[in-house]
Amino acid sequence: MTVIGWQGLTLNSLVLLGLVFLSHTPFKLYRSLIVVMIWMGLFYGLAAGWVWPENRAVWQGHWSQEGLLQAIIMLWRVILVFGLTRLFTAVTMPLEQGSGIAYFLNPLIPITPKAADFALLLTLTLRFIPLIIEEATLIWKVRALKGEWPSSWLERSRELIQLIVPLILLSLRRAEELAENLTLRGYASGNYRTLMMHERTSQDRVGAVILGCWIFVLLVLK
Amino acid sequence: MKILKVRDIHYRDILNGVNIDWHQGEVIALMGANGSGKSTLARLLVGLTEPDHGEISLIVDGSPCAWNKVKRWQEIGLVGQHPMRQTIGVTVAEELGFGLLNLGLDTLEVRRKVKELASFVGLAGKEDQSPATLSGGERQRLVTAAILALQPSFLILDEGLTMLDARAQANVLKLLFQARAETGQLWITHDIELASHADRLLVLEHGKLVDKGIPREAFSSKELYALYGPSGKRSGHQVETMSNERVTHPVIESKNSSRPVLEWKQTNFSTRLQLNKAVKAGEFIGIVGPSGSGKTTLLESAIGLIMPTEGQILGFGAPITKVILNDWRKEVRLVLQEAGEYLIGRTAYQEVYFGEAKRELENNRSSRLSYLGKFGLVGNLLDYAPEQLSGGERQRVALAAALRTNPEILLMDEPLLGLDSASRRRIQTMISELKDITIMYVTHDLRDVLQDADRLWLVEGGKVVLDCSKQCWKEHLEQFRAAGVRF
Repeated sequence: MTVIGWQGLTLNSLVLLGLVFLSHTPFKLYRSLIVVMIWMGLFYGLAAGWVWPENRAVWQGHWSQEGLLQAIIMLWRVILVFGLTRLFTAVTMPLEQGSGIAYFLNPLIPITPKAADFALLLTLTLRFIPLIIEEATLIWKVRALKGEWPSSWLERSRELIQLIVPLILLSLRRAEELAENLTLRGYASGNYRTLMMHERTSQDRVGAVILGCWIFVLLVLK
Repeated sequence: MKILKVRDIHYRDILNGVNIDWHQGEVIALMGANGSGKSTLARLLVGLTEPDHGEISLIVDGSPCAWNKVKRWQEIGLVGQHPMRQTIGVTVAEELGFGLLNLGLDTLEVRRKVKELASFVGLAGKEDQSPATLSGGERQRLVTAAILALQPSFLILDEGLTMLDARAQANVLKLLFQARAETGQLWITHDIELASHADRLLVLEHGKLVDKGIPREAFSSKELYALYGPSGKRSGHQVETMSNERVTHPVIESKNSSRPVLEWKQTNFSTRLQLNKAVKAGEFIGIVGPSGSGKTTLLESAIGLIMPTEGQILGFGAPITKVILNDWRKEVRLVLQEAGEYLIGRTAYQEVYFGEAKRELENNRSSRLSYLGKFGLVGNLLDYAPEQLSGGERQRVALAAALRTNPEILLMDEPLLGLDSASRRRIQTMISELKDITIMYVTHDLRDVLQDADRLWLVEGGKVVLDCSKQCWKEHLEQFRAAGVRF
């Protein structure tokens, strides 16, 4: 479903604003959207708003009102997608995102064990990133403690490459440890199931109803 | 009753005919030098590695089971040394429930068990938290509980308590003792105090297991105590009678020994550390405290890896700012925790002289051999890649690298962590022999510093809550004990 009408877009925008207020996230988080808005606006404005007759040069064209309106609608949609994504990442930890994705993949597991593997892969990847960042920070610290960086760019890049080798070795070691830990807890392909501790509450049900209604209204309004 | 029978196990040139009968409910302490094959044996038992030769079998009520049909992960659990590197789950609940779900238990049943387990290990209410938000001690308890939840008949702890302070260690030990009746336990350790709690002591020597009997009786033998026990120098009683042999460096003296070489003036490092302390030239400060108290942060502040949000740090009377950091780090060196894990040179020699050009390294090699020899880095060892060296050798490389520029201040973060008795003694002797240098030494075992320290700092909650001379440490015994410091 693609929302293209101004009514649907307005409704989505109001919902986004409502969610931003409810989440108590600071507005500065969304500052980067301004840069996106300017660049995307310029791109869409030019791509859709500037038209020229057939067999004539580009500079012999003119601005089209219809094209500019189309550009505004496209920009509006992009901003909504960016805004919702920004809000989602601001209020949801990466690990929770992984867990959520794995949870939604749960119904597919009886169809194919690959879904379980994929779900575990996602959660482990998300879990592994902070571990690797920690190791990289340590390697960086070790290098910083060994004294000044060389002044020449060539020497500097040579040293940087030299640092990548121990980092790769450490990452491989950590990955192996993780795989071994999985084996030691009895993991076999297709076994993975997420564990949500909470039963569904009335709040969850209310949330699901609101989401359903919203989708229905959007379907009507487009 | 189950018995794990190990017969004539060979693995490369590490294990050379290992035999053992391990009974369910029996606690065995396994000791041996770094690189003797203790961890390899553990990996073989849990099935992460296959032996070249020999047989492992499980006897259940007198009848043997085919080893290849035994679900090893269900029968034998393994807890490693690093709390951070063993967690799998996104949350505490998932960590505790991961194995249970793999056992095929119903989700509702797993949820119930997870709640029980979380409350049992003191993590009730934290079920939805990420394991990364827990302290090292809590994480180790979590992993141990997650493994014990599978009710394995045998459990191996590969230095599983090494990184923990006394309080955290006691909590994990409590868990282990509770499971003692139905679980055979193998504690791989270098700590004779821990080993003394076991029913039987095994020592891995030259690839073979030697049964030394009841640990307490075995350690009464002078020979064994000398080999695996702490060095006599670590005894707190001897400290009182020993004179301070440390000599002040003439260079340091010339910089005016009455002035501090390092001073934190009303410094705050966000909420992590608050300090108002000074260190004089030539002093040896032993810094102790529980895990997560801010000891490592303190050392990082001294070398400028973190800068204060309030106040000032002075080095030789001058403020340490980002502008002078490179010069400051020539005077101060830090040996990181597990420094041996983070060697970035291609070889041991290149690690010590990191940053030098190839020609420079080759031309100066012969003149540097005597310096390297002091650290036991001789012959082919210098050309080995770091991963080919043993734990003790890697730690010596790290120490040699830190000292080669003749720093005036040496900062060390748990330099003896995970080392066997011989390596510990060797490195401790090297540290004791360091004259002419100001030392700040972080440890969670007071015995590591009692011999050499002039002053002891107890760090708790990001603050130095006690600053006393080593002569009066016994007056503060209760405070050290309450903080979880080992002594």
